[in-house]
Amino acid sequence: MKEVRIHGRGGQGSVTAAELLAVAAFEDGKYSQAFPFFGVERRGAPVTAFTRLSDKKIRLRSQIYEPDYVIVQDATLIAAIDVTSGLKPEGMVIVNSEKSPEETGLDAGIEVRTIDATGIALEIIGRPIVNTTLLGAFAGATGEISIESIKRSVLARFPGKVGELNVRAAEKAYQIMAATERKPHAKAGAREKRETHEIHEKIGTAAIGKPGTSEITKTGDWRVFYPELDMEQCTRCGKCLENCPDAAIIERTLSGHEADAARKKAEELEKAGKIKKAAVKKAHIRYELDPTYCKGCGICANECPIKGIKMKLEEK
Amino acid sequence: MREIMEGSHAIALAVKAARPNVVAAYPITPQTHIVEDISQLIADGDLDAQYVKVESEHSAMSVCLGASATGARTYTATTSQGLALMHEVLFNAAGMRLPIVMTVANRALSAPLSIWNDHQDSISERDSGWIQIYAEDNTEASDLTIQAYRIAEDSRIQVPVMVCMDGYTLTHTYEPVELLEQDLVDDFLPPYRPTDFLNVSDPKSFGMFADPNYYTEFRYQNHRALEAAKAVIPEISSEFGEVFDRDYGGLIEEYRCDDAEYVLMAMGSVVGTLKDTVDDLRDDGVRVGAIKLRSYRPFPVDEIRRALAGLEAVGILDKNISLGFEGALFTDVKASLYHDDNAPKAFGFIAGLGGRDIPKRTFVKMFDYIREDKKSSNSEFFDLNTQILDFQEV
Ligand code: SF4
Ligand code: SF4
Repeated sequence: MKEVRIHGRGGQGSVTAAELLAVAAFEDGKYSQAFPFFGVERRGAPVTAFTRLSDKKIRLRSQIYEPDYVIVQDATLIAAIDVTSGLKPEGMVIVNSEKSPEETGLDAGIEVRTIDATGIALEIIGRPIVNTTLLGAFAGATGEISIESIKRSVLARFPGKVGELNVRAAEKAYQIMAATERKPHAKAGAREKRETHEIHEKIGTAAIGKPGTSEITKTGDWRVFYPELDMEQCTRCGKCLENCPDAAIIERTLSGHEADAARKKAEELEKAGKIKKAAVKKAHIRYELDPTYCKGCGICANECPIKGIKMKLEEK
Repeated sequence: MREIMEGSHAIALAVKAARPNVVAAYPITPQTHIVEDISQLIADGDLDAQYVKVESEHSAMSVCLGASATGARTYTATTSQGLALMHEVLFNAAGMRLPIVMTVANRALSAPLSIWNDHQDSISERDSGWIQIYAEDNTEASDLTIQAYRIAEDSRIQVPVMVCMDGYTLTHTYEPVELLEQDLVDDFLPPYRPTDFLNVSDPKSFGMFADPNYYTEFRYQNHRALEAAKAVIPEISSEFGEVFDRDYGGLIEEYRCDDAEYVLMAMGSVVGTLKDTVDDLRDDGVRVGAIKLRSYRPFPVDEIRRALAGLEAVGILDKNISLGFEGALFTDVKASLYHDDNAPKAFGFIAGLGGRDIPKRTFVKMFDYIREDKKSSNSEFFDLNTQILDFQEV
């Protein structure tokens, strides 16, 4: 049996990747099992998903503690969590990164393969959807699964044009990975084992906790996209602010000289026919993003009645 | 024919194959995918049933009760708080002997709020008069859905059935599932034709008042029906096995118990992990085995007595606890053994609550525990993180 652990962030399709991998293995005539690390799925939050592949029926139901392979969909996770926890000595980590394996910061005792899945996905699919690209890379790097089955399972899930593009991205990643030999690291297994259990704080008796937990949780770390607010067109309706689940849009009222300048600029724009009247009246009110808490969920962009918010890919 | 799919989808397809007339359900995690898929099947015209949208689980079960009384085959699914909200209606459905089938996507009860799996929800409905059968994998859960209708509608018993499957661990897992061929299901499960049902041209009263001269006798008959199910469940299971070539045995399944000295007993999906642990230990020459309890109500007293006779010790895993006492299975197993002179020592373990994972190493520790020469007492909490406790000894 081979066990695969996928680390990603909510919205990157980690669970879908685990499922597609299981479907592909099934297509290859194997038994397989895929399941998420069951939790509250939030866009941007670290997500773990698991896949088991075997020639025999799989009965084991526990999470995967000693994976043969780890797929890291987002290299920023390497600093945040122990992605290689429990990895088998002869195991391999595949990281979505344009950097070299040595530059990932992962333990030198581990075989690391990198692939610029985001780059490939942007080039071929036009969106930074990396899960299918990484499955192609997995097939190429490990040989555990045929690229044909990966393609079939992707097409079955995403029929039509979207599926075709995903298949092309997977194919490209496959070619790149398959072209280079596997080199199990000489020092494999030499690294020390880190404690895998989370350390929890002491609990009270009646599930009563400290206040302000949303302040402690820096949801900004989860962000893959960020909203760009068009403050010229904005009518200050407040919908984005009201609907933001993390209170990450802050209202700031300008005063004095700053307020005058803002009003003047808005009036000029209106005269030039560039913006609507509604956008002028409250020009002295600004909506700003709080990067510490904006998790990039895109709800604000969805809610904005004038479609004045665009979700942009965060530069890492 | 085998296909790979999510557990919830397998259940939706099994429900479709059972051809229910009425489905009423209220969405709750982790049952949601099951009822979403069923409502999609109905909306697409793939299942000819009425889907009744309700405002709570209490209403869902009430709709099933009313529909079932008219002679309709009915289905619902829920979990945790939703099942608790149904509590009152569950007793009515059982007392009125209505053969409703329900999937319970097992989940812990609040507080503290947990959306993760354990068995507290269905165990807490132990006395509702419903049959409870626990599935180990998604094929079994799907097959049980079909068998459940045969069991529930069997004119010898007429009792509702809960098919219990672990929330997330089964409902949200993709794995190969053996499909149920529609023509075989149709042969195995003919349409529901009760002799008594609400019918304007032949009026009857359902759920009547029973004064002290009658109440006990009604309860006795209800109890006898559950007892009789002990013969009906294995009978239908083997009939199913003949048609579909998958026989799960009866009320319990014994795994490598023949020459075993030490056995662990559990219910639900964790049994798969337990069987793998038994194989590992057997490879090391340790004589261990596993018992999967399939039917929790009715409780298979005779089967357990026979299976445990002559063992050195048995450990019982409870993913539930009767607070102030011990795990529910542990109590029942000990009660079953009370009159036996050669009963093994019995140990109870509370583990896997609120989604705490049970890996193989936990079972290895449990086997180690029961192999030591200890005296049996109340259930032990296993895998407890004592460092985070805030508890004062009195
Ligand atoms: S994307 Fe918009 S709605 Fe979401 S957290 Fe950021 S500011 Fe709030
Ligand atoms: S929802 Fe759009 S228009 Fe309304 S305040 Fe926010 S950015 Fe401005």
